[in-house]
Amino acid sequence: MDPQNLNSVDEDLVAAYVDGDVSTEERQRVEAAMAASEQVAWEVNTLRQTVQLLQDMPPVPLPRSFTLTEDQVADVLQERRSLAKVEAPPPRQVEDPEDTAWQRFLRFLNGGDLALRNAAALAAVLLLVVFVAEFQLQRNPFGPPTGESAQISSAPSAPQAQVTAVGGALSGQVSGQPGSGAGSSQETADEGAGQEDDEPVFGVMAAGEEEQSAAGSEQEPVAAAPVQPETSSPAVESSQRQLTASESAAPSGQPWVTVFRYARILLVLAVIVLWLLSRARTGRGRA
Amino acid sequence: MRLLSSLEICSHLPLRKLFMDQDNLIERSLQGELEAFNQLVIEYQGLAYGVAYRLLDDPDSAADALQDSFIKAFRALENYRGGSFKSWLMRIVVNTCYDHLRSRQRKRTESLDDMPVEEEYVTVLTDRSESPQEYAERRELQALIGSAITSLPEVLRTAIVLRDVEGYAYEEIAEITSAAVGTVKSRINRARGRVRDYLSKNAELLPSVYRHSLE
Repeated sequence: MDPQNLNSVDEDLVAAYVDGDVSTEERQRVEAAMAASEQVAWEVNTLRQTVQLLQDMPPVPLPRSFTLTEDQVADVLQERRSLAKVEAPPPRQVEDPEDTAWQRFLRFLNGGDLALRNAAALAAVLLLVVFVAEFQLQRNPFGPPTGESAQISSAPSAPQAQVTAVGGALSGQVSGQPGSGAGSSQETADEGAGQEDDEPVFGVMAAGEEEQSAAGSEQEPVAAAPVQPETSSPAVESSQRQLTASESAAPSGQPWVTVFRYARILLVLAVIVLWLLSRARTGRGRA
Repeated sequence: MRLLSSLEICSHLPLRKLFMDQDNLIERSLQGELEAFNQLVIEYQGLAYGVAYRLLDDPDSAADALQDSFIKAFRALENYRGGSFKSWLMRIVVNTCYDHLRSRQRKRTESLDDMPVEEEYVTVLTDRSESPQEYAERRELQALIGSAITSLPEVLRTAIVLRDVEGYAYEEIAEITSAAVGTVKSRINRARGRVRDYLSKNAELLPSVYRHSLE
């Protein structure tokens, strides 16, 4: 090892030797070179002394603290804090494991868009009203002529009166009796109520029975009403008034049944659709 | 990943805890917690200031460079990819000191050789058992060694400061300076030789043992 021509490999070795960071073989190589050359020995020894001087340098005391203030890095802080908020998970993502099934069911029902959920509830109430109205219609078709039931109960009378008029006209044409025809339908009805065995009355009954079989069981009382044999004179008059009232309400009676039927279907659909929409809107909101 | 890489560095329990705490502080700093980063600053500012002071040989310049270094480190924290945070931070400190050196050279405000020693620094280093003459000689020797270091090129200066003054391992210096370990050793050896040559020109200020070895 010639110190005048130290190559990079030798520089590495000398530095490591001075620091005591060499293997046994490397140390022997350097010490052999030092023994062979005074210049090498001088080089290594002076370097070791220089290192000792440098290592004896006292540590530098800290003049002040170098902690950062908010103002020095305000822009970076703002950016990182906003990113941290965005990346933070929403607090209601994880379901509480201690919830009972009933609590989860209630939360499921209460979830969804409030306006649409209220609309679905309103449709459900209307549906209930329609069911109650239909139930009343079936149970009390001849109730007092006020409100829905009165209008509905008049429905079966319409075909009866119309058929009576037709029957009267036909009987008039067939038998040639004077006073019969469309213009005397009120009288024919009166006769039908009081005298069972007259031909026109029989025609009314037959027509009424035909209509009953077509319209359903709710028309049975209508057919039975005119044939009460023990009916006193005031009762007969009452029945006549009912028929008269039924005659006036006849055109709007039958459509109410259809209206309720369609209303029932529509309201069921509305409840389902509105509730599903409320859930879907909430799902989009979360997403 | 960062945590695992830190744990691989050492298996010693107190040091492992230190690295886990350090990783936690880094993560919190990335979330915008300045207080967490300032704990890292407190932990490393002494080491970092020593390096900056030796590289710049001026307390005010070293303080400015160190403050800039910590601001740069906080801004560049997303680029930290694990490994030794100390080496990553020191690389920033060294590069910032280079920037200050070049800026100072451009401005030509003062000669590095004429920089006065900070009075507060000298007071702290005073040994009450030494005589005024010994104190004066010690001050002159330290100033001489400082001048010898600052006379070196940047890469040699960094290598000798980190190794002989601050006591870093070859591998750490290689990581800080982005150089191979062999290159680091060569630089250290050349730097030591140049410092020795610089000091030998002012042998009257050197300790007698060192002066005799030079003869």
